[in-house]
Amino acid sequence: MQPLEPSGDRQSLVRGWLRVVAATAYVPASAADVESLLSGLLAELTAAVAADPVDTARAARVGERMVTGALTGEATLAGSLRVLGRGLLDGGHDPVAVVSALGAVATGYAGALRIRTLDQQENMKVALLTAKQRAERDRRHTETRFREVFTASSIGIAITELDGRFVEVNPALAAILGCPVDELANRSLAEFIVPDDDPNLPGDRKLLIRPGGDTAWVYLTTSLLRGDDGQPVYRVAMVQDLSELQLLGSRLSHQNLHDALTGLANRLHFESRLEAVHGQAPPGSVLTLLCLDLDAFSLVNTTHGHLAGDRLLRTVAHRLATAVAGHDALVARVDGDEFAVLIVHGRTAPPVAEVVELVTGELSEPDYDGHLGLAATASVGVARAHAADTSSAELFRAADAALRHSRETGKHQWTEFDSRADHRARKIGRGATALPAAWENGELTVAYRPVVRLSDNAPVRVRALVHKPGSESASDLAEMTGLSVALGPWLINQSTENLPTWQSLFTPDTPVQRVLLSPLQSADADLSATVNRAIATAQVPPGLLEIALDTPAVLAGRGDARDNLRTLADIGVAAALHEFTGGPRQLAVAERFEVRAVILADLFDGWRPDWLPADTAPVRATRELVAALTGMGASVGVLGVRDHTEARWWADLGVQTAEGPAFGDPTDPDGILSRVRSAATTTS
Amino acid sequence: MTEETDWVPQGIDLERPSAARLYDYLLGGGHNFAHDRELAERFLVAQPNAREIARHNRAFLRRSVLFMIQNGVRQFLDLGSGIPTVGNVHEIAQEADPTARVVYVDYEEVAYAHSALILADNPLATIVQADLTRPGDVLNAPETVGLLDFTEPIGLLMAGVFHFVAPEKNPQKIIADYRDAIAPGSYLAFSQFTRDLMPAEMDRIVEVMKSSRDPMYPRSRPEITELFDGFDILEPGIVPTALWRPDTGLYDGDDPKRAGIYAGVGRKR
Repeated sequence: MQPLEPSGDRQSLVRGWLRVVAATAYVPASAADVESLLSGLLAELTAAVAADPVDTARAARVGERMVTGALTGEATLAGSLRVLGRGLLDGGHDPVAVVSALGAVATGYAGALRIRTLDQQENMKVALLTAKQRAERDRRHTETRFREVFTASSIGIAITELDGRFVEVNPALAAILGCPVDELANRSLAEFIVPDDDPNLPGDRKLLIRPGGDTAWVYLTTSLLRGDDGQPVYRVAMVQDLSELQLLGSRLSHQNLHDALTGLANRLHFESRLEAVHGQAPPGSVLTLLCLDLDAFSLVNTTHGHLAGDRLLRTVAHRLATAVAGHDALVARVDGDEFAVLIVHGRTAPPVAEVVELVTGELSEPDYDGHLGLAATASVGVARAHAADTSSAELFRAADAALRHSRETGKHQWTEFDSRADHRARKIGRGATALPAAWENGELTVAYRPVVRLSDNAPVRVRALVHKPGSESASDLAEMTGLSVALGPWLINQSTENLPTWQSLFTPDTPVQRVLLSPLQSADADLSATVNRAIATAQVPPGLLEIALDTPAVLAGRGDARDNLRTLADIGVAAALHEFTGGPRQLAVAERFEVRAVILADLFDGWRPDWLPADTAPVRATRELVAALTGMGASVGVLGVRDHTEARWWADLGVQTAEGPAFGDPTDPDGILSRVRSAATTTS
Repeated sequence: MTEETDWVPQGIDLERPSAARLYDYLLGGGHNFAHDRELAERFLVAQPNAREIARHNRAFLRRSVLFMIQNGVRQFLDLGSGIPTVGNVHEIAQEADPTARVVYVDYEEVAYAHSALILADNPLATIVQADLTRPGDVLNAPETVGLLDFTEPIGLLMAGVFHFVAPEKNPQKIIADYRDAIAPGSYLAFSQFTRDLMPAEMDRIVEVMKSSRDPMYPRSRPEITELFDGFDILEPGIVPTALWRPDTGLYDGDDPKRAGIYAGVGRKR
């Protein structure tokens, strides 16, 4: 500490005190501020000493203000009293008064410091409490979160002593260990783990043995829990039941491969099993594959509801499985109401009919659910092959093709795969499916074929038809895919553009162009609007156009077919019927709608009628038919006339018009023009 | 397999003394506990000059804040602010300009709780409980973002705190992260213990503090200078606290080298 400078000078006493303060206390104020504080305090103290008696209360306040002014360093009070005592004595004050006043300063200082400390401790207590509450709240949150994880986890969790004894176990672990939580006290995880001496096992994969003796594979992970001092306190073990994982895995794979409703293999599974069976079948063994399609299943669904439908499917599945039990067989549900049954025979197989009877025999027995008894019949396609002869995919496809054929035949039928029929069907199928693309690509054209008057074989009109180069019957194929609905308007629009040409070429008071519409086209609700527009665009009389609707479509009242027939006549178009086979109902329609023309279907099923004896029933019936039609004012026409002999036969029968190879194949308008002109030249 | 787990919640640990409460005790405060005072006595044995060192450091903080105020800074980020005691930054700054804003940062629970209590009624000062060695936590705290404008100069205060940052924590990067967040023209006031001035005492202090939750890492003047990367170190440079722009008239005549702490102020380029 600084030696005390003897001075009676007040200013130098303040400076001396300031030095003591600066050396002992941190005062958050400027030197000037501190100096003025000290100067004020000194004035107070001097006044207290000078009072008689000594004003100890005033002196005590000086001590208090030292505390509030932060003159509170460890050595500040002692240093201050020393400097002040020396200064006051030097200033000539009464030593007893000085001692008394300084004592009061110390008392005031001590009291204020005590109060300040108590205040700080109080603040501290509040702060501490707040901090503790915060920490407690955080801890509670952490603990709650931990609890949630601990109890809800599907992974077994144990907190153990360092020696492995359980401290706490979650429900999942108790379940994995097969032991109630309260029976795990004082036991350790090690008791449940089979010591592994197989060094190839991954370190965290353990075999667990349950009290009952059964075992399970688990993943075991342990970690250390450390206390606040960083020392390990507990271990945490996490146990994951691998068998459960494996169970789930196999259930998923079962779901992938099986139909949930019937429990049978699904298509995916069936195909792979078929492939496997096919590959493993002994050489020379015979495979029979049946594809079954429930008849009228959608009717069951819509009539009795999906629950009944589902029940029926389960019943069928059960009966099929029962029927082939004891055979080397596989049953699958390959589609909504389609099933497949594969049977592997030895070198000799029973006849196909027997196998079909075996599999389907029980199906038609009604299955009663309350009052409702449902029976299933199925259309069946069968394919049979030696394992070596065909691929599994081919076998499946063959059975499926046979099924399709069987369905076309009617319900409750079975068909064995016929490779020639299949070849035809596939060719047609390919053509039909290629047609929309051909149309998109502009490969379809309108072609014309001459229609002749049989009395003199002179061309009187043309028939417009959709033509795809290299393909025979584009319109039949179009009908299979539904494309014909779009093709109809296209054909009408395209062909009417040439009506003026035909008008100038042929006799203009009869139709100069004919269009035959397919069943779908005949039923099209937009047909009359299309025709109206086409005629308006071409600016020709409607009577130049003969449009023939499909007779069966009109007879069945399919779509708007009947309205179309009536409306076409109203427009002024020559309304006609084609595919006409006769019979009272068809004749009645022709009469009722007063059709202008009737074009007969192929009444002789591909046979040449002119080769038939004239008195056979078909010939006589046809003669009657033509007479009846002619009698009601309709012009009768035939198609596909092969040559002039046949043409004469039809002419003799009373038929008015004909077309066919005898009079020229479909061609473009120029082809028609040159043909008609050359014919005119020949006749003249 | 075995792995470390650190999810055991930390409570308030009054058994282990803290640097913040030790500092408070050395400055004559009452915000401390028996364990802190016991450590303080051992600290005083190791470094008898400890009270002066604390006082000088506190005085340096005050002078540097006032210096920044004079240079136009009106917002401060006080990292490792400790327990509020006499002459807190917001008191110094707001006495000079009542609109000055201060964000205190301390990770110690009691320092945080106490500061929050004191600042409850002061809308221009707040405290963030965060670890200053994780600048992201500090800079992205809602309190920081809400109170400080990082497009304006900020007074970054790291008085007597960086000696608690271990070299493994990459101190250079920590300061660089703060530096990159503040605008050019911002200031850094920095002070920390060094072995350069009083090596024997410093070694004893390091030993004593190993038992606290805040062990100490003294740094040399070159090491401290490196931490000012990106700042222009202002006159008089990195010096003992008492020698950094001292208040004339309050110089106590003691040997300034006994401060034991280097101090300096830099201005961001």
